[in-house]
Amino acid sequence: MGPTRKRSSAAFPVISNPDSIEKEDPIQMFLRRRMKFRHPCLALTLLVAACVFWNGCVEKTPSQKIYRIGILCGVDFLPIQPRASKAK
Amino acid sequence: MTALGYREGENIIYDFQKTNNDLTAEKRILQKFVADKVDLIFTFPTEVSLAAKAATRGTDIAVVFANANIEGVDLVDSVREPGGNITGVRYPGPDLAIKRFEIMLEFAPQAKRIGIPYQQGYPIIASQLDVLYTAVKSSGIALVEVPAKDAADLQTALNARAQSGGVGIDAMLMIADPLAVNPDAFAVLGEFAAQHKIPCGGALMTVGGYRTVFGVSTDNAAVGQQAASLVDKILKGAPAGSIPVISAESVLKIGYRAAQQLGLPVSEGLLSKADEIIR
Repeated sequence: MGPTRKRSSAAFPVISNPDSIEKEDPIQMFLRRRMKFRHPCLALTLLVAACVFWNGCVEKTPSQKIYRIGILCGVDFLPIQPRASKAK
Repeated sequence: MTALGYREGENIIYDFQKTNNDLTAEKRILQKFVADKVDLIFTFPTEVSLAAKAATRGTDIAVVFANANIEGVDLVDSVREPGGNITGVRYPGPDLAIKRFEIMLEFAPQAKRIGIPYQQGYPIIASQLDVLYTAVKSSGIALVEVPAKDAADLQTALNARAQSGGVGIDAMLMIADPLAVNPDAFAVLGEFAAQHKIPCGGALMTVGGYRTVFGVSTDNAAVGQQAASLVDKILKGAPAGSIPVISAESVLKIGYRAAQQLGLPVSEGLLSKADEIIR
């Protein structure tokens, strides 16, 4: 992202004086360039959509529901003992 | 279930209960499962599965059974469409009864009177006896039924045979039945077979030094995997009654040492059929 790098996108200004850029704080430079992104509303919409989609997926994931299974063995020859598991 | 992504305590909880053919206890436990509104009830073997089907009638609780016979009992409508809210892994009782009978004849080809101990009134016995009677028809082999209520009753029945002069049994065949695999009852059966030098086989058992010569049954681990796949489908939304019943595969285990102790022939052909040989 040095000042000599050429950018064809109109979203970024053409740098006429590389010396002035070198004096600018890199964070300020980053923020300034981001502010000039053409479609901030679109980006925000995409972000919200992604969040909604993720929440929907998470709610439907089996790992979030705790299934309860009753097991009944009617004979006593199996070498396993009755027990109940507890949720962690 | 773990392999399918279910982690005990995190996204699944098991309430495991066991009874010893105690119908009152079975009913009480099933009522508790229904009151707790569990998502699914997993049962085995047959009788408790029938009880679970009855207990969940009118609820949306699915039942998955394992090691349950479906022949001669009102457990499912059909293998393809079990109906209601139930499906499971079928125990192929009649098929295994025939296999057990055939293997017994390989061990004891001279046997003409095959004793069959079983629990009196147990629902899955009739379908197995039916296929066995068909198999022995015109073979000159007689089936000698030894029904009993429990181990003590079995002891009385076998003592009566021993005191009547001749035992009247050349080999003892265990069919799928809760009595013969009960340790107390098998101890009685094993002692009787050892005293009279009668081969005893069908289910692989070792209790108090008494051993059967072979067992044909299902692999519990494999059945568990099959049942888990059904449970997974139901938890993911499939209606239990529309999932076809799976049939468990059979495995043959030979008690080589027990057979040798009785001087029984164990052919190479028989050994080659075995899934496991216990030496």
